[in-house]
Amino acid sequence: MVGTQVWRPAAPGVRTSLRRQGAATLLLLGLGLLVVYPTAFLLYGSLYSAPPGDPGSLTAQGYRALWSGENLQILLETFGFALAGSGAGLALGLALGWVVARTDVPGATLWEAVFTLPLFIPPVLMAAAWGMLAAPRAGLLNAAFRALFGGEGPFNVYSVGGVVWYLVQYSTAFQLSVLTGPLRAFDATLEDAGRVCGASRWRTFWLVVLPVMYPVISNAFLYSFVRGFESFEGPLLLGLPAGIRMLATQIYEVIHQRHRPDYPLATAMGVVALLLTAPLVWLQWQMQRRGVFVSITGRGYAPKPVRLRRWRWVVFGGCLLYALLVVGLPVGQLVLGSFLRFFGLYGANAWTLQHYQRVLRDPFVLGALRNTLLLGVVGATLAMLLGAAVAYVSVRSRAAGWVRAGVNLLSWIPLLMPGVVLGVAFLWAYAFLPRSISLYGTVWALLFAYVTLCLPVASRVNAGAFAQVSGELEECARVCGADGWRTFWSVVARLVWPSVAVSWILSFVLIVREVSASIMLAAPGAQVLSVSIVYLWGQGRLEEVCVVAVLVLVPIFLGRYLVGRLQRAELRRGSAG
Amino acid sequence: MHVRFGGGLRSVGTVFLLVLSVCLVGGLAGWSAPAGDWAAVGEAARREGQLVLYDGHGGAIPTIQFAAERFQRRYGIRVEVSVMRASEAVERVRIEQRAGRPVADLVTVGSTTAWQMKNLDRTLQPIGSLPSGRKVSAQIRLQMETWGIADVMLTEAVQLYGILINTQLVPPQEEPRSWMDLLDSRWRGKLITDDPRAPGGGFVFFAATYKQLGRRYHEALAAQRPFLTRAIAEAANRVARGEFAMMYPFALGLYPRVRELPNVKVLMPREGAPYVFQGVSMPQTVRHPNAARLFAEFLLSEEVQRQLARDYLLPAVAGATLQAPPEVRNLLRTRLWDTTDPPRADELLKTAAEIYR
Repeated sequence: MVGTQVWRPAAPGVRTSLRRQGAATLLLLGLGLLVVYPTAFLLYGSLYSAPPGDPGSLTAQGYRALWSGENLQILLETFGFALAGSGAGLALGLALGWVVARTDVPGATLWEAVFTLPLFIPPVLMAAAWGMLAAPRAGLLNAAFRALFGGEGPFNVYSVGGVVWYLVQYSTAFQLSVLTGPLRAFDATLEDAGRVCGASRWRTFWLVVLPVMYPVISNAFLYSFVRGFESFEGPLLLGLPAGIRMLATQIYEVIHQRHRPDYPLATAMGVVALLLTAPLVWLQWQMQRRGVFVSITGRGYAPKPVRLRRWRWVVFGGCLLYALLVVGLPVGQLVLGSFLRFFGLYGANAWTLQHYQRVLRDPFVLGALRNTLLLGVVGATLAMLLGAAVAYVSVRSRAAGWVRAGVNLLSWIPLLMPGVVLGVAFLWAYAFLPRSISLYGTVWALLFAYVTLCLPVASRVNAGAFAQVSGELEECARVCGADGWRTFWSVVARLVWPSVAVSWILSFVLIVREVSASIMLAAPGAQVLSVSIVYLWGQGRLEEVCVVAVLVLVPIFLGRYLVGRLQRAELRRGSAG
Repeated sequence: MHVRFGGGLRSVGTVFLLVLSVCLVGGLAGWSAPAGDWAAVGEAARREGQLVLYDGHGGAIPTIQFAAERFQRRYGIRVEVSVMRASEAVERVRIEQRAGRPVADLVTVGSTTAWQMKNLDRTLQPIGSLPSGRKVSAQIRLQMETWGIADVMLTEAVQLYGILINTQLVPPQEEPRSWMDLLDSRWRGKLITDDPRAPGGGFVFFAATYKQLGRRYHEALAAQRPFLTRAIAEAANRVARGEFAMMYPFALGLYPRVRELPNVKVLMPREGAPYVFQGVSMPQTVRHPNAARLFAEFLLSEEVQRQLARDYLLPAVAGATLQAPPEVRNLLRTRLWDTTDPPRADELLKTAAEIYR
């Protein structure tokens, strides 16, 4: 493997070791409370004939019901959809990430922010936008096709292809968002070494870049795969009408579409999802711990863009095409929708600002916006800090192997359970806390749930970034007399901050979009934005959903753009220095 | 207006006896509270100062928000409305009651949900007598008595279901006049419907027409390959956008949202309208019982009842429709055809799932 270094932590002194073990074990216990407690309720629900609080008996009826041909087929198909979505998302995310981070394509930072836009669009709106674009008869794309070529248009978003397309969009945006920071900071001398040894650029990419980026890529891919496995809104709105069932929609059906919710079956499905995806986490952990592949070392690193020369504008054209097709169409629908009198009906008199006026005067929505902003900022910050701690312990610390493995696994668990059933688990868990702890019915319940839900993304993004920084930099700082905290702050944090910032943005977005736990835990008088979107959606006020989405999308887009700009500027300064 | 409630009530004699028994029970239980007692309730409600309402209609009935704002303005009692789906409201109330951490003081429900919460979850308490209780239409009270939920659910309105059509896709001569017209082969693949396999408007329509027109009607309707969805407000939007020619059953409460559009129209078939009662219930243990009862009473006030009519919901208080605009009155005058049968909900949902695969 050309240019790849394998860094292993040096053995610490006894006192330092005990202190670090203590801190890591404390983190493990904290995560246990945050994650295992609601998970235990899920397990209880799957093994008990009645939901918590009702008389019942131990039973395996949920698991028995799950063991039917239909449910097994749904699991298999869900696996296929998730693999297709995340696989294509990885290919596209990596290619686009490489273009915006490693080449001199014009407007790279802007493209980076634009490509990640689908992440910030509420899923119901994304599904509605594609429904309008590619509905079999009335879809705009089919209408355009008819006008140009005659006959029936070929597009149908209510199909297997439509669901995969929906998953690919989110997966690409997510993986690109995670990969660009580390790709941008990639030490170009490693690539140069490959080229010197006679490898082509393509071969260098395969044999040098990909292996060095393995921790980041595997984290991003696995996260994206599991998200696809538990994807809900797209399959519900685009898949179900075509008879396509996925795990999360099946759980939704079992809980919300029956006269009496079948909690044993729903929670058994959640537990099985956890058991099916946990081995993947273990496998990734095993592969990753064989060696930590670093690209930022103490020898000085020189991230420099690849000169595309005559291909520069061709690649620019490709970026433009992708941005128009994948981002421009749904986002354009969303922005136009916010100015239309009626979503989807165009005409000379179709335009208005009244939806903005109405939203900005609606106390329900404004209150939700304020609460979400507060919960989002505090929750994302806490999740970012916790995620960084998890990443540091599992990737860089010298804590015992079982502690590191435990921390890593626990940080994945909230992601491994479908959100639909996890919201119920949070409700049960927080309501049945000891009487002295009044969490249920307060805004704190939501905050705890949000931090728990954001933990996987925050720790994954940070773990990938931490893994890239060589430990010799820290050792060097300590040799120069810096204490542990100063070493972390002035060396590691300086190098990984773009990924930490991205983890904050992704956590914030996740909080803004989260529905299941929000509905189950929202305190009276403290509604959040996702619930107000459900409220507006319930009344069919799509235009106002668009307005809310635009109001949220603009600052997040600017924030994402700013992170890219700052990282580029810093790397330029670093290279110049 | 001829009203027939359910398939079980066939003879005039039975109806007469039931009305008589309702009047007797109502009289004994006191449909209206004495004025002195009620003043004490108002005072206690003001002292409680707050009310938590779970809106299990997911915000689909805007009158709830209207009533909350007006109530707050009139009595100075803060109303916190939490919007959610019916299943979520039921589970939140159940877990709060079991855990001894009551939060909700009232929950908006349909009759099937109220029946479930009373008989299966046992999470409701009687609302008690209200001064305006006697103003609720006798027909509604009769039906609620039949189901055994009159004590735990206050009905403030009736939701009627018709058909929404796109006038560009359905010419006047082809407009459906009867529910049977939905079976015309020209509408195959052009219909969108609220999913009958889940509790909601689609199921209300299924239960009502299953009783009235039988299983074969639904087998034929399923053969029309209707697009099944639970996003009902968006379904109406999709008809307006021309994705589908018709939506059935179309809850009249959604009509204000699309009525200004020139290309949609709502039709009430000649057999009449499937319907469902909308109301509020009070969980077993609540923190603000007096504010909850005062709000329930407020839902029957002229102000709220008139607004319900303006929102195309048939007010529970007879006569409140009279002041509604004529086009609303015409629609709300439709014959009430049939509704769900809460005790049989499980069985009928299974049947719907068999037919609509």
